[in-house]
Amino acid sequence: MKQRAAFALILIFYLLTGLTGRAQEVVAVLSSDSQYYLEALRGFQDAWGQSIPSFNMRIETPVITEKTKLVVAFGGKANTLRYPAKTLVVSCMTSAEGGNRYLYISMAPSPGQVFSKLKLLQPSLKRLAIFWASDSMADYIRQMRQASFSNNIELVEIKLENSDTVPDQLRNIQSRVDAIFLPPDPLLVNISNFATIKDFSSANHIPFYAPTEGLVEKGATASVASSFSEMGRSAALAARELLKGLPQTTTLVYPDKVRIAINLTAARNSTLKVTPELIHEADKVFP
Amino acid sequence: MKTVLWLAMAAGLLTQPVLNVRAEENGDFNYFEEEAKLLIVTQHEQTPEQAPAIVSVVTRHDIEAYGARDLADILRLVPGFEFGVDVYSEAGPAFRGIWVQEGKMLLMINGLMQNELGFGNFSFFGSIPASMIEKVEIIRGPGSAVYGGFAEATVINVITHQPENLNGMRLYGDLSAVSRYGNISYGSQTENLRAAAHIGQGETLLSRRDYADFFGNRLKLDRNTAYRRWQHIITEASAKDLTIRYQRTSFTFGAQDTFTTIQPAVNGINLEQTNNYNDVTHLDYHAKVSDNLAINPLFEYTRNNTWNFNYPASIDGFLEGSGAMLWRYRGEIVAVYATPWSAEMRLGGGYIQDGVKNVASDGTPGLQLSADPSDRSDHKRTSSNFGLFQYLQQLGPVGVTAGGRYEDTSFGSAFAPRAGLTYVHEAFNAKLLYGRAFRIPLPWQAYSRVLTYNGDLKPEIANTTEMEVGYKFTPQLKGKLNAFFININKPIVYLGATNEYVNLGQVISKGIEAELRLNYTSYGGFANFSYTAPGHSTSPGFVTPSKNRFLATPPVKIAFGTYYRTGHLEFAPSATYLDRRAGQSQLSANDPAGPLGTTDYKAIILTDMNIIARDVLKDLDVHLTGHNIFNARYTLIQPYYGGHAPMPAQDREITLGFILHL
Repeated sequence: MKQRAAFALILIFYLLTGLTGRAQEVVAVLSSDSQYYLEALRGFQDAWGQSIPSFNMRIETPVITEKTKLVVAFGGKANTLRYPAKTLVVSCMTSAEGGNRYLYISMAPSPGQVFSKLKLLQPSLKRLAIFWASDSMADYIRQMRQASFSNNIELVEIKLENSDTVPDQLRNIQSRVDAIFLPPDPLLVNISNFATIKDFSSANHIPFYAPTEGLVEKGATASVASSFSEMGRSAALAARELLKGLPQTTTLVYPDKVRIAINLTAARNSTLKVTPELIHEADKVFP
Repeated sequence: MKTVLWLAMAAGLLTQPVLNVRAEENGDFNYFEEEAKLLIVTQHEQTPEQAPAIVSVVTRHDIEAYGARDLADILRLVPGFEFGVDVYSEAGPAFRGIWVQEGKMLLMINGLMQNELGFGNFSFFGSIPASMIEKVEIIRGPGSAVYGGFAEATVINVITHQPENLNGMRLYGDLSAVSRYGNISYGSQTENLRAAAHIGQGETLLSRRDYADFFGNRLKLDRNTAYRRWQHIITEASAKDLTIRYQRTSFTFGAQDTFTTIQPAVNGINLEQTNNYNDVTHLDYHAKVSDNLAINPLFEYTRNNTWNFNYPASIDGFLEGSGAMLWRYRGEIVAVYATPWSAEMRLGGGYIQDGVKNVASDGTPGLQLSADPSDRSDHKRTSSNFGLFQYLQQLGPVGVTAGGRYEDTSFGSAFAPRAGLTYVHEAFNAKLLYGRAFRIPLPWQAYSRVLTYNGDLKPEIANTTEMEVGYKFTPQLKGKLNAFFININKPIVYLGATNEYVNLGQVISKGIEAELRLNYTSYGGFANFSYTAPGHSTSPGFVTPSKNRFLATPPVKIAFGTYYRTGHLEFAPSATYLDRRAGQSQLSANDPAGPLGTTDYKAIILTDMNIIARDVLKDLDVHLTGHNIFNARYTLIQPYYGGHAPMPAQDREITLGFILHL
């Protein structure tokens, strides 16, 4: 009897807490329970000051009512959901575009910050190859181009029609660039392309800058990227301003903080000079 | 009760904001892979496996590695393509056994049509040098629903070096005992402007062997009698969403016609000199109305000629010389709408006006506008109004495409629907495609006084069904196999007996093509196989008497090549096997009223070897290329019973070339 009562109490507790969560004005929708979305959600909640109810689209359909004032969508799947017209939406960690009412937190750092950090990592950098494949990256590439002019770095842009041409394009740039930069382009970043570029950069002793710290751990030379947690934090700040009704001058927000990660083994095999100062500057160092 | 309670508690847990972290070994890749899947569905970004067409893309690396001299060399390594010869010894392409010269193949440079507007031809062998090409995109199948015009059997789009690839200047030079080509490319990309220009010219020799016609005449081919000269100016500039392109190409060749005999010698030279030029001005604008809607208007003006006989007076030069000019105006507007249910819709339409102006060298009008021989004019216009639509949706692994193009023309109306189903699951992909294509007659074919007037010409229609399966064995190794069935009903053909263009007969082609490709940064290669056979209902004029082979093209073609890169050097041998081919026999050519007869030409292998040394000096690449290194006796054969004897071409050639990056 006691056991049954305990089960009933637990059940009531969970159901009640779950349901009350849904009544909140701000909710998070996660495309799945990937650790990256969870890390970004934690960053959001830390900056928000309290936890918010969340839906995991892998196992449930989000219930967004007219009472929901703001949704933070993590990942492309959550971003493409149809939300009530009056609901404000902040999108994180996605390249897929949506309607005008969206505010995007860029996964890529601002081009100005990228070049500033790259100069720090590689002061001799003159010609940087940047690969991209998705049309959704076009605007970011344009901004990178603008920033490259002011940083006196020649940007060699390589738009891939499909992934299969990565080896061809690498051959074309052999001995013509000082480093390779891979932006967070979903159509480009996969195991095969990563391995091909990593091998090429290793064979030619040029640094390979990856879009995430995880990829630096897997063998890229370094990364200049925002953490998922930082993206979530930026989403929280943007959400707060949206709810206050402050006018938005842009639909795209770059996370404030950019981290440097270095893979020492890969760096020593490249022209990157791993100095104690550089290691001190790095936020994450992999052996 | 206990079970129910446990289930209920589990349900409660699922509603909690606390989520479990899955172990993710390749977490970063998994994340990007999931986002990529979504992008493909929502932004309609297609992988080649999802494209509703059978597509070949020849990259800059392949062009350089295998030492291609021109577009003909590039196409030879693509399944389905071979070449033949026509009047005035003009070299043209055959695709899947079908002679696609005369308007069945759309050839573009940077999206701008290059076919001449008299017959729809483009002359190969020595034209479009490889040095100006960044890549070649080929639709191995119909493209009328999108492109209209000449996109009946295949579409070839030559892409020149783009501003972002150049980012400065590149100089190209190639020199051999029979050829010399040069090209300068300049490209720049600034914050608001993209611009590129390519200027080049060159000359080659078709062969040094003897040409013997069917009537007992023999001629030694040399620089005076078998030359090919090419010039090009290709420009483009884009600012924001506006793009302007201007192109001028010119191809001059000395050759021999063979309706009756070799051209009588003038000043000791047996020669007819022919020139084709093509001028195109193009303007387009990409207007993004909203996140979901874009509108793309374009305007294009093309001017060119059929054959401009400069030297000496040709048998037809009285009416088909410098006094003939052809042009086309094209205006088009297309709206692209991304629907809320993740489909893409295209809707558009436009207007085309074709014109011809022809004045004979005696000053009389060069066109005949009706069956009445006295009804003459020096100009004639025909027009076409068209509408097109396309619906494209990715439903998980399945892609669905439906579309079509309708044209109402001065020669009658035509409709080209298309439908495609694609399926991609992990490493496997499959395509099932149907497309109807048309080719609209040209005013020159109906009204030129060179020919007999025929005002009853109608659009010819081709129905094509294709199927493809592909598999990626590893990320670097993939294979494809496709089968096709093409049925062209009442093609527009030249009828020698009455000297007119008519809708006559049928051409059916069926076959299979297979491809295997390996691509690592330091080594790789390809092998492909093409088999083509005519359908039994094919008109006798295009096939052997037994109807088991098309004329001029080999039933089996096998091409393969490998490359290996070590340090500054790259080695790339390649070869093409051409099965035995058939052409009109001498007996048949000398007895036009007798039974059709053919001669077999034995199978040959064209073997090439290319060595590239990169950065031999700062920014200087050098290559040494041997083409047809075993000097196989390759000839171009006429693809119908037209009385043109096989033309020797592409003897052994050793070329030294360079690329300088500035």
